[in-house]
Amino acid sequence: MSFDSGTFWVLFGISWLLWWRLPFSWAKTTALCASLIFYAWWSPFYLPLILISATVDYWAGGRIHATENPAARTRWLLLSLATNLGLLGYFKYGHFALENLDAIASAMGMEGVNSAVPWVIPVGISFYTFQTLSYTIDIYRGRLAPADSFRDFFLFVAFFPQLVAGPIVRAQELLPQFVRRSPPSPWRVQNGLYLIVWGLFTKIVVADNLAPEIDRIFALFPSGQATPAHMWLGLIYLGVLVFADFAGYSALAIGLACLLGMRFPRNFLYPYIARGPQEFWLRWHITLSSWLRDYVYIPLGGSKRGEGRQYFAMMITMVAAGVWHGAAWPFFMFGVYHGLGVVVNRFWNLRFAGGRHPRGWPFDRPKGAAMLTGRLGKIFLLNLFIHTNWVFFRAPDIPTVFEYWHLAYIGPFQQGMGWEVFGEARHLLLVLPVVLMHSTQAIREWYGWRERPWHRVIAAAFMIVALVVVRRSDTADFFYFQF
Amino acid sequence: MDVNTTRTGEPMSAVERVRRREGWMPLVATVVLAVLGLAGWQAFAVGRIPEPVMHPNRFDGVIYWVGPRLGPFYAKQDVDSADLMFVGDSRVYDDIDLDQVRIAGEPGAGLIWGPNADLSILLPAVERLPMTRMVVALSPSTLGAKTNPVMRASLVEPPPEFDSLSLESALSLWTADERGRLIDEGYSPLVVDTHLSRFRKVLRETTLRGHGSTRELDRHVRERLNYFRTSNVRTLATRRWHREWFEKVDPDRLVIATRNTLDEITDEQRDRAEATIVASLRDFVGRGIEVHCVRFPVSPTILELEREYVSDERLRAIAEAAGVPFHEFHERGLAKGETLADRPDGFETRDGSHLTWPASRRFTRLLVETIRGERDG
Repeated sequence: MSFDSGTFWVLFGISWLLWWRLPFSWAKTTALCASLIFYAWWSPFYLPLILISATVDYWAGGRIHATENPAARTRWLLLSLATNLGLLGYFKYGHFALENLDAIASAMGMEGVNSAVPWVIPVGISFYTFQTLSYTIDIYRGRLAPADSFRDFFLFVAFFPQLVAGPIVRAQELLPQFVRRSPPSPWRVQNGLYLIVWGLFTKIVVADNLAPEIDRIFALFPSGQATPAHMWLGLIYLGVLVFADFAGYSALAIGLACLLGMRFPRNFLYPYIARGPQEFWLRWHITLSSWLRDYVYIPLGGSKRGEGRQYFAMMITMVAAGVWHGAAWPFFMFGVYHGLGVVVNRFWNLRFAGGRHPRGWPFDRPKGAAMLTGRLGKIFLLNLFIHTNWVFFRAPDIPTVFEYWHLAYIGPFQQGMGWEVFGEARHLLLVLPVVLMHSTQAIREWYGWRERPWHRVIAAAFMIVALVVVRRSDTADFFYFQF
Repeated sequence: MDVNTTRTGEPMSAVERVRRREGWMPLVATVVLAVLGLAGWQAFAVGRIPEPVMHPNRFDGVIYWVGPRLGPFYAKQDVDSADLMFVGDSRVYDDIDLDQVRIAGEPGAGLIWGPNADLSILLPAVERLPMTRMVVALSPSTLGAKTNPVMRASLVEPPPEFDSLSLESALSLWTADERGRLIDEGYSPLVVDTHLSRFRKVLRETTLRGHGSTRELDRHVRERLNYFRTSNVRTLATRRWHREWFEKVDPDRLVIATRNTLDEITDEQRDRAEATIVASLRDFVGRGIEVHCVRFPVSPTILELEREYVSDERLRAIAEAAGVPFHEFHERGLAKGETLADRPDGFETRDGSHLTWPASRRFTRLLVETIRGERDG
């Protein structure tokens, strides 16, 4: 059951009514039931896993809080870590590990291992595992009191708006909201509706229509018809697609929560106007990057144990971000690439920019044309860096990535660019809304421009029209049969 | 209660005061503006949108999975009761507009096609269907074509009876087969059942949403394993949009792909396919079915390319050997005394091999009139 299916909206409508009509205690119970139905819709076989994860963490969290004995607290924490990381490792990375063992064994002339067993990934396991881990770790660190009831805790783990694709909401953000129901306000309801429309627009109008075009561009490789211009278009489309897909989903989740009177943390802050890789990760999948910062980067030393150690921590954190996205070598390389990016960025900042915080906003508004040009130049370089890297997300293997880069960057010198392709690239129309969103945000941040209600009114009306027009369409894209 | 205090009596912030003052006005304004926008769209834009290059898939008919172990062929409309059947490769799907067939007075028409369909496989597979007239797309591409692996498997097995199945039946058949195969490969039954349960659900949802779009079916069959491995980052199912707005005409798009396809077929394969096709066509004719072989229009470049591999005479000879008429829509007259050059719009293709939607409608009307003897073929 996905957010753009009719079934989901029926379930949400019922849940919404019950949430506001029933006493809060009953409302939470019905929300939990709705969450479990939502999850079971993907597959009921995964329910025991989330139940095990939640039970162990609730129990371990309570025990950690109850005892003052450091050794005992550590034991309970280790139990929680082992359970969560064990489940995640087995279901998400087990197949990958076995595949590689198999390959190594075969390369050494030994009998391969059976890599064909644990290949079903429970939906959302990466998200709820990180949420439950943060719960026990925060209790261990003394930053959080345990949940009052198992129901509240289980609802925090399984709350359907954020269950399968984030944002990763931490216990200290969500659990307090289960204590008292926030009354609905016109602003909150309208904000929720706006975010839902925004999410549906970016997902259905932008992302879903770019996806087949990207498939077509990648399919040009074997036919030998690909030109460097195709590759550059692919880079642009892919960057927009990934943003629209992920940010669209997050906006939907946050909007749904808003309608239930809940507040979720922001997950995307127009990342393509960042001025460097470090700032990019302060704007991209913010809940993941802040989770990794708090639970991986800082424990590894962060910036407090010397420059070398900081670079090491940055590298490990970025590799963790890469493999969190999927168990495959391209995702690993995605992390390495970003790791190198943030390390070089940090090195540069320390040496040549006085160790400034990666995001100067809102304190360094551009002054004059030179400053603005410099800022736009940095944004251009950042986008070049980031969009080049998205190929790892789409390519089936690493050699394809290098082949893609070769054609994009070396190809123009060998065979010419093929500029005429840009003239026919109608899908660039779909890029425009995303460029517009980022541009307005940049102006907002740099010049203190405030968003007025009528801005949202116009934007929402435009997006609604686009969505309705989409719904009226009844066409199928048979792009796959290009024989 | 003071309008400048919250429920708990605390003073409101400036932002909260502004939000309260706005009330529901932004929502009302949005709805009004959206309604006006939609009305404007309907009044001024809809009629001016250029006609799509690719025809809309407006036939919700059940997907037919030809099996067991044979497919994917695809069917549109109720092929079990169709009187007039169009059979062939993707050109049949793209170039035949069933709306036009119906308008031309042929309500009982169906369509069966497969990607790069090899007629020597497809014709025996449809021989039990109860049609009385059949249009066969005959071209170098359907003469011993490079078939997909599943279709190729049928070459070593006796051609099965064409079994038209509902999606549910097809899914049951396929998953039963797949379950056995996966368990044989060493997967545990629990894992297999989990996988297949989810697969059925996803497939059913996306196929229903796609109104029987075969693309969805194929994509999921092909990517079934990868789908589950990456399901955590692919939460929302893909939804199609006005793709046709973005579709553009490129008559040379399929030149290389067509050459690659034709290169892979050996002369021996062509000879064998030709013999099977002639035998099948004779069999159809012998059972009283009126058969028409048709060379569907393609771009001049693709036409020249195909002629390098199979001459027009050879295609014509196949039809003659089977005793059925052969309609050539490239250079032979479309109407009495009419040639392709007389038509300013011609038969424009969107990729060299498949007609644009406007061209396919014209072509469909001409084809129906031709097989009814109202025009010279």
